[in-house]
Amino acid sequence: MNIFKFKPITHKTFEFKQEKSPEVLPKTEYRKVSASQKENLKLIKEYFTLPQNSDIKIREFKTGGKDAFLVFIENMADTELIDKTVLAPLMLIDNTDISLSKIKNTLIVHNQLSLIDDFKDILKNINLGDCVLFVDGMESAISLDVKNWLTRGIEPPVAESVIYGPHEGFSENFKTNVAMIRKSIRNENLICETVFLGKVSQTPLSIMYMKNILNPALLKEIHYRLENIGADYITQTGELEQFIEDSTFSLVPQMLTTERPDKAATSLIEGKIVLILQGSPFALILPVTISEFLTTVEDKYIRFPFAILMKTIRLLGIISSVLLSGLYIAVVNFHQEMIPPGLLLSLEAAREAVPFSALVELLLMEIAFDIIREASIRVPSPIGSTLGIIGGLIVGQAAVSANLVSPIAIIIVAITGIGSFATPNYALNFSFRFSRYFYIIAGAVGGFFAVAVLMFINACHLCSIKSAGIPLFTSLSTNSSQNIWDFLFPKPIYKREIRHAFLNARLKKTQDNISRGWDK
Amino acid sequence: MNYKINTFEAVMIIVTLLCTKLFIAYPLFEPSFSGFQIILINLVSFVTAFILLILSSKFKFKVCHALKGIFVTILLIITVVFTGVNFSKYVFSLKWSLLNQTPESFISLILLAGIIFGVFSGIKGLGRLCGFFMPVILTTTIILIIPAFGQFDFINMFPLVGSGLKETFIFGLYMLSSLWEIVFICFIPSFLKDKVRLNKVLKHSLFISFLFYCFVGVSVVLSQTGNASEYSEIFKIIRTINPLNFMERPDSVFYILYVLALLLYFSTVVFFMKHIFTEYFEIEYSDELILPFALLTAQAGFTVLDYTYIKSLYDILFKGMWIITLLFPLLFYRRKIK
Repeated sequence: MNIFKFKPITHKTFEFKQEKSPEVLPKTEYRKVSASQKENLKLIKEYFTLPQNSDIKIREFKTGGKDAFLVFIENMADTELIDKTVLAPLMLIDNTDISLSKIKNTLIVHNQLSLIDDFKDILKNINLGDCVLFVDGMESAISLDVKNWLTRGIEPPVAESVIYGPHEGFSENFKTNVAMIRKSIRNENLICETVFLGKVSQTPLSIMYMKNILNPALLKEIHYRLENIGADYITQTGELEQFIEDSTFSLVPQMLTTERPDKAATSLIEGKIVLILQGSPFALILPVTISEFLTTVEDKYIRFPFAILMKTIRLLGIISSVLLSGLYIAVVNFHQEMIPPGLLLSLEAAREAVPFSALVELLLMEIAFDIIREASIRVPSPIGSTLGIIGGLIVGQAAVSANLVSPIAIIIVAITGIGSFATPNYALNFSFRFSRYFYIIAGAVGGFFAVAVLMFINACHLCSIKSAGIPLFTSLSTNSSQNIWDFLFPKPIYKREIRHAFLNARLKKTQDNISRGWDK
Repeated sequence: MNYKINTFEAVMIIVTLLCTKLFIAYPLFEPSFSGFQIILINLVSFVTAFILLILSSKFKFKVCHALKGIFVTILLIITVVFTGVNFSKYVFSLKWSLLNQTPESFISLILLAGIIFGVFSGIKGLGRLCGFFMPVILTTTIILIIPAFGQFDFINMFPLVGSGLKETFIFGLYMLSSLWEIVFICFIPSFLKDKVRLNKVLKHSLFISFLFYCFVGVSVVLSQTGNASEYSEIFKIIRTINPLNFMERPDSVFYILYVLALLLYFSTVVFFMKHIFTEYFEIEYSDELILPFALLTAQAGFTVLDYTYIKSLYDILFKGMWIITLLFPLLFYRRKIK
């Protein structure tokens, strides 16, 4: 082989040309339904880009001697229902004269239908899973609600499991989720508005609220924000949250995500707004305060002394998850005088063989722990537990044996790790995990001094950010009916008579002054 | 924008302005003071301050815009210098007690970062911060001092009027220098949600501050820690206790309170400096002034990089500050709630 004639094997590669922008398609002009069957059919094919768009189904047939056709989307509409309630009665009719009212009132055997004459509404309904019927010579189309979306069944919530309380979680179908909330609040004041987000995706979003409780200013603000989202594609609540939150660069979430219908229903009763997006098993609750991020629904379900105890333990876990590593570094590097001599000697003996500084040692362990945690989420669940055992036991034990880290560092990281699992909100857990690194560095740089400065900066940040216009720290510092004592030591459920003052709801009270009428 | 704060937040802001300085040093101490005398001194100064503020709210002194400008300038200069001196005293105190190896400039920079964040939170943020932290700071400080009671000499509570009634009264007025921040109270009404609450705010805040001043003052007298000048007296008292077997010396925990309290104080003072400046000159966007004011305050304290000079400068200023406390509320009191 002549090496001078060698040519490497080349593959055809795709080059994305940035120089020239693609042609912008003209804006769609929606027309009115025409009396001509051919005209309507042509328009539908144009709008849906047929025949390329393969899951758009058009069924042409004759009814009463007139041409007609049905349009629907495969897998979104119930075809069996269409056959029975629309096609069968219309196709089996004799060649008698038919009219729109006759079709609507006597032929179609279906409970939900409407007349539409605008193609904009027709397309929206088809996209939602409806079936639309056009008949030649009629200037309106009939839209039938035959939605049958594919969903998984109702399953227990994954991230918010409780012992006491319902084991139902939201699914990806927003209609099911709305129905699950309606199942909890059977009241005519519960409003469910539907808007469509994403210029291209047109994802349905349900805005749920209690008309007689919610402050209308809040609803107006949410409408304003939603109407002014210019994105093409929104499919998940996580994306939506980023589009409507106040502080984008904040480490702290400003909306509560939940997969529990009972939590969403409770929030609605409190006077909040719940947003349910099609395709996401999480609902967004807003506005919220920091105390709500640290409370679980179970706090309300169990008897209040236990709720106080559980909350205290949870808070200790959360505080340790954020601060313990930083305080450990601060004590080891700057405040050894705090530690009794016996403990100090054993600490030093444990660290004697470790070649790294306490900072490096702790950072190594924290990063390793986060990697294991991240990996165990990504792998299938049977392997996840194995990964935990490998990470926790084998790697930890081996690291101590190899003198890479001291046993005390393992204990500290384990406590912070377990503490972080006590955080009821997954998004807030991210925030705590992230801020822990800052506290470690602060503790190493300036001991308690730097930790205190960082705490102050953190508190400033928390005090200045808002959730839908409500400061996140409101409930912890004011002297209103709900303050820090109410958060730490909640009253028995029958004494919680007043709604959160910061919501400024239409109805100020949640229950009668003496809700236990039998105990007067 | 709604810049209103509620009663509790307003009370805590005033308490922050008046009480947190005690963490740096107790403002007035003579070896001849008795415990009861220090209570009487505080009583005289706080009652005078309260009467003064009530009087300011009743009478309207008309001052022309130009003259008011001069007073605003004087107030700002005095605030910058006095706060600067307090800042440098605080930095030196931190350096000597905790961060011996760290240069003052580094400590100042970290503190400045905290102060700037604090001021950026605005009055509502500061109100919430003070409302959240101050009860914790005051309570924890009292809890940390109580175990030191065993080492106090309670004989020092007597004689009842200490070195004399006349001297008690004079020192009481002289103690007004330590309450010069009540000038800022004059600007609080415009942040309050309603005017009816103003008297309540004044009463509550001055009463809480009076109690804390008395508690710390009596502790300083009884523990006889007030003679040395480098460290905070509270720090020295806390250093003597050994409440738990696990914690060898809990005074390190005090640093967290110490830093939080003083950051709240400096943030609030810088916020009011900025507020007064923007109000007088009718500046609409004032956030840009935060950094210069914060830097100016820190710089003012470090113009002389010697603690002895800073201490003597503080003493000189302290001797004249009671005039500000007496005079300026009459000029700046706000009756209108915007």
